[in-house]
Amino acid sequence: MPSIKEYNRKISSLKNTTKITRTMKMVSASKLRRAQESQRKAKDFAHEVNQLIHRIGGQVDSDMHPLLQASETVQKVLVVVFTSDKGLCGGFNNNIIRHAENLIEEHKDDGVEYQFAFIGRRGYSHFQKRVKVWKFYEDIPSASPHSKDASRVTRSLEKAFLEEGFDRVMMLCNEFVSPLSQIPHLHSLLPLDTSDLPDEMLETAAPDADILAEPEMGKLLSFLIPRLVTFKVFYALLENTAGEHGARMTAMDNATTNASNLIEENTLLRNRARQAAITTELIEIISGAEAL
Amino acid sequence: MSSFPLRVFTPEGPVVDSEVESLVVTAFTGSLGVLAGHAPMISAVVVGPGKVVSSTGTQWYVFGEGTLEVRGPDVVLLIDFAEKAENYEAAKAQTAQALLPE
Repeated sequence: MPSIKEYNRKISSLKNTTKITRTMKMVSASKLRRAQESQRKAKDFAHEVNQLIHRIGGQVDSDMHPLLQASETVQKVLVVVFTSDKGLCGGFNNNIIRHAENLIEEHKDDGVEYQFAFIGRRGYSHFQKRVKVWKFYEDIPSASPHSKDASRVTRSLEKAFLEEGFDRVMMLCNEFVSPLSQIPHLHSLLPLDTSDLPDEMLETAAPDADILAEPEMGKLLSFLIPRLVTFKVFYALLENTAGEHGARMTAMDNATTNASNLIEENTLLRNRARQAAITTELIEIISGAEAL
Repeated sequence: MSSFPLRVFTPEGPVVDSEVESLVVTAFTGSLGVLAGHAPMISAVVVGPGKVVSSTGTQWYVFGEGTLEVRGPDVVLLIDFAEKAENYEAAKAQTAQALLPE
């Protein structure tokens, strides 16, 4: 049986652990709030862009922009995998990794070439040597992405789609349902699906005829449509961030509960050990006294 | 100097939402300035330095790609990102950085 001292050491180390996990939980909770706020703002932006597209050209048709045009046969697919940079967030990254592995397994024999791009160190370090890596976006902080990062990713993805012969670009990221649950989800990014763009709050204003446009209206649309791609990438980044913080919050909450339970258990054992020591001592004294 | 309401939107949320005296952006064909009472216009904006002058002073930015819309008195800038810069030189340097190829 361990000594009282050993129990004490164990309990104090567990107490330190709970301090850390409880703090991490609180930090994640506040970061999660911020990430959700960013998501709301990003939606406002998308709404403004949609409204402007509506004012300029009304409906978006698939022949308006090369990013909207699907190729007839899909032979080369790029999958962007979103994970976090850091661990200690429960099954957050593992779920994505498992999903990606299933995807590879499913499409192993159908002749479609799959290549992967990674945002977040966790996914990259897992798949680095297992799949064909098209790119690893190393310097994008998964915990606090900036819209500039999204803009950069979008530019390179557009290039992959338009110039490097990828027929589809997909995003694999965790959908943020609640802090308790994130579901891996595979979205199609390019070609941009026009049916994805409805916005029920659109004003139905007729386009102004005598408005100056530079360049002309048609070309302007080709400037606006990639904004929607940027928005989608940014939104996925934010969803990933919110999910990461949510998952970490839950994981750290569980860790705190587990550590508290262990403390209780060990305190009980320590008290029992102490009681046993006292009893032994008493017996020794009494039997000593009796012997006299 | 007369002023007009300017709203600058990025996916990160509104960056500017106030009365300003003038706005300069890098448009498709070069630098483009907007003062109060500008004719209705829509223009493409490319990554480059931009400037917002208001009664409180001048602020330089690097604006991302997007569009500029002048609609009545309102001016709306919809761009990928907006970053504050110290001065024109700094804005130019930050532009170069933003345009670095992956």
